Amino acid sequence: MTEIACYVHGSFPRSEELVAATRDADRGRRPISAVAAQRDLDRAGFLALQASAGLDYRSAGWMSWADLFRPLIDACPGLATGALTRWFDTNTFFRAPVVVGPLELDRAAFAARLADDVGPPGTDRAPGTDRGRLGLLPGPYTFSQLAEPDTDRDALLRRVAGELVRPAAEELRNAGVTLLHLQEPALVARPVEADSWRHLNEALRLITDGLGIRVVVHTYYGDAGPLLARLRELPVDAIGVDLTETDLDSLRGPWPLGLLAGCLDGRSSRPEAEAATVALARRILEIAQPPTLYLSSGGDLELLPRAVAEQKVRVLGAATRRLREELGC
Amino acid sequence: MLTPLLTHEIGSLAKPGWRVKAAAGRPCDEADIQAAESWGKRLDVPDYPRLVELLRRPARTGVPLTAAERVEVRNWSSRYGLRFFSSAGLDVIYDGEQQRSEMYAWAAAHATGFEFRGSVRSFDNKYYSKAAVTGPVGLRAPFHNDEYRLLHQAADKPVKVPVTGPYTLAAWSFDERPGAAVDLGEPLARRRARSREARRELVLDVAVNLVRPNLEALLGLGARLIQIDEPAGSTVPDEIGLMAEAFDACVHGLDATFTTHLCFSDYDLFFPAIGEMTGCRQYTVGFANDDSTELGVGDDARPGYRIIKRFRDLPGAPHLGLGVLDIHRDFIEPPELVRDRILHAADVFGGPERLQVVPDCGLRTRTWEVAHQKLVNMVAGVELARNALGGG
Repeated sequence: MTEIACYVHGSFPRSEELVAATRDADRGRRPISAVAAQRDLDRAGFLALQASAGLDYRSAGWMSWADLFRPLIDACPGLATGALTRWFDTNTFFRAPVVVGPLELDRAAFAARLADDVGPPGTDRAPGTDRGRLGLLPGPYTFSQLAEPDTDRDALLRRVAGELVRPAAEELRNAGVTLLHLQEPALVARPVEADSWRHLNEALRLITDGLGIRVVVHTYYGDAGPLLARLRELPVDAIGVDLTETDLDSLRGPWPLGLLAGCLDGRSSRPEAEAATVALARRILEIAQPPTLYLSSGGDLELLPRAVAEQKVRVLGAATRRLREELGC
Repeated sequence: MLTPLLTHEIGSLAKPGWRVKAAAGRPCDEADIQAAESWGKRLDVPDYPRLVELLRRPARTGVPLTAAERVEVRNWSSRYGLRFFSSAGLDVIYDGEQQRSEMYAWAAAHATGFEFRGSVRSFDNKYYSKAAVTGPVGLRAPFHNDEYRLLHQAADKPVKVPVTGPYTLAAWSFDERPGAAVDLGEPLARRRARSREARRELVLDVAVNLVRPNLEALLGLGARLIQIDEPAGSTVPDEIGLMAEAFDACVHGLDATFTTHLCFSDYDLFFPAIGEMTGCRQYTVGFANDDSTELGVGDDARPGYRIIKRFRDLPGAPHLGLGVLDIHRDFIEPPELVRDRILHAADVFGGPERLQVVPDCGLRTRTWEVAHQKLVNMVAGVELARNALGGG
């Protein structure tokens, strides 16, 4: 029987209060400590929401992250922030990572912010399971594709995987993370050179070999359907697809890996209906029959106002609970 | 109207603390009042001591500003904005959008069919208030008229009105109209076709029923240079033709010079589709964000400007508003760097006739101190370029 779990990946939206506090601090109207205090409240609220919704892996929301790459850039003296660049086909922007020296993660600097990123230690592991804290990092392929300068991206891919993502993943694991979610939108949002798959495979081995926690590679903002044969060969525990961009029928098995189904639309302000989400999940199970099905969102929920995102989290938890009840698991 | 190397600004400027507090009904502190006084003097704002007196009064008397007085403070902020750009030496000016809440929210708040949903991230820790379109779009009332009347009368130089474009207004909104709902169980091809059609309908609805009537109102007041901002223009590469179509739907048959502003995009995506924007006489585009800060006029020295050849070759020979100031950094571009960026572009264009000079985008993320010095240096750089080109 398929194991079913659910979680929310990516940065979670900040509250209106945190947005206001940040804006005020930027303009000298409130001390920076007010931002940290409000962020603590936001994080606690998000953790409580996930607990009450019944999510299996719980995220701290990564609300201190300026973009997906910044925690690694900030912890690597060989990286700098570059031009403000559009984040795929969204209206948000990131600062491109610029390689200016050796790629070596300052583990102490990275670990120092983990309390902020994964939340305070607690009893967040479900009894008898490995379910608990969720870790988030940029996928090495996306990082290497969006970094500058644009020379020998395949070599950069391996270096990012081995020298940045792997040590960061170990720090996350040491902090209690039991599932590492790697964001890889570039795999499906842009064409991938045929030879790059081999390099990606090797890069992911550098990350996953002996790591000892689950690793999910999540693709979004593009159609994963044509690439699923290659994606299913990657050395990870599960592959994520964005169902707002991917045809349900393309998920037909066999699925030797777990499948993360992005069945919440991270760009739509309409909350999904619980019944429709359950029906969608049942169809996925019929079509793909993966060993593990993770229910989540396609793109992350950060592009939504917090109140809308919170509603979607509740729907996700309720739909997962109902699906389990219907399946008797 | 678009003469060679004309300098102008793009749009927003940070709002002074005294303007923000007055608008919110909060008292100003001494630092705010000092800023109003020092900038008033520095920018030579006519009668600025009247503003200072007005800002001081609540603390002195215990009587807060009335609603009319708060509007007056906002108008002072516009006068300061005009002088900010004028004193920096720009040829065409506006007020840094001091009257508006923000380029998107201001338009959505004056439209019918929009409902605000909350804040979403734009970049870093910058957020904007995002609305959903829930029904037919329309113009509640022209929303730049009061602003234009004030600025046209107060400006000591020609003005350019920045107006948020229809594609950006649509792309920055959620679409909650009944026909836009999506069922993820549907085949992808059918979903995509329906989404494309819904988007096209929304963008053209915004163009024809919101932006165009607002432009017509501005023209009725005498506005003749209008910049239609499309920072979201390249969000979905397949929709750039739609952005172009919407631009022309806004301006077709109207008697004014219409320009557009594009920024922070992979500009290659715009070609060839923007060639269809027959109503656009100038593209103002941010380039400095991607450029080197080293001096030099050759292709290798100016990596941020690689794309300008494609703007040169657009049908109809439109002008290019050359972005020469990176608005996301406090780095003050030296005049010589501005000069070299202009000389490089003049070389590519075969002369300066089709070039004007602008910041990459609005300067609202910089302090007034930084923004003003950047603009002063931009103007100085233009003079250096004119001299180098033999027209000084």
